[in-house]
Amino acid sequence: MSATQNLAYSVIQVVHNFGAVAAAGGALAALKFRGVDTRKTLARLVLAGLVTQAVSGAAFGAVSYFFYRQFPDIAGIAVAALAIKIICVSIGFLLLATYLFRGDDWTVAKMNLVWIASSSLTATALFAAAFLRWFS
Amino acid sequence: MNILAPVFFAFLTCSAGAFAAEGKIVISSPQNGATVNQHDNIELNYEATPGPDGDHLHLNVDGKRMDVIHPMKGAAHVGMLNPGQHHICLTVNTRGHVPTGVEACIDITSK
Repeated sequence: MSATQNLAYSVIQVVHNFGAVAAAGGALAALKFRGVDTRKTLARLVLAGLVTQAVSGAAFGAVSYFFYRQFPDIAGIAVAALAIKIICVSIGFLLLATYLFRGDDWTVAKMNLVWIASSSLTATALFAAAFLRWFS
Repeated sequence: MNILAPVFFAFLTCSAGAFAAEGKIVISSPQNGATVNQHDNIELNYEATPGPDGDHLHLNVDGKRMDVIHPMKGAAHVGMLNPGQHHICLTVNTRGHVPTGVEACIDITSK
């Protein structure tokens, strides 16, 4: 591949990785730090991470399409892993957006449940990412 | 945002329309149009020149990915084929699994 393509993929990978760190790290931190304001800040961080993941993930495909007019040719386990990642990010985003904008009167137990679910979703997405990478 | 500037600059200055597939794949056997025994383990003998962007090959049988192949010359295992017509293709792909457009295909009949 050309240096331009390598640069494009590398920059997107950096952004994608930091998105994963923000999403997974923020969700796990919220299991430990339970202050209302702290958790709201973490929810914004995780949401930003999830959006970053989605946009940078799409950018991988966009770069491929830009250079070759084709998307990556993935199959089997890789397709399943990609679908799992997309589902996890989508559910995680909806869950935390609801928590952030509609969750003020939720019980502590319900809020804890949201963070457990968010942590599980981000962890699942990380597992799927490894399978997507090596079963492509 | 500054970190993305080189990428955007590269996109603006690079013409995607200029992309043209370079490289070549030759499937030496089975030959196109050949008839094979349904109980035979089919091996696809090939030789590929991947071109500047090519990294590896994808083996597709009837549009379904069967294998990812890194040697540019050798025999790819296809296995036994159900009776009927089959379309077998080898495609050159980038490291990111994007087909470069270089491919070779054969149609064979299994009986």
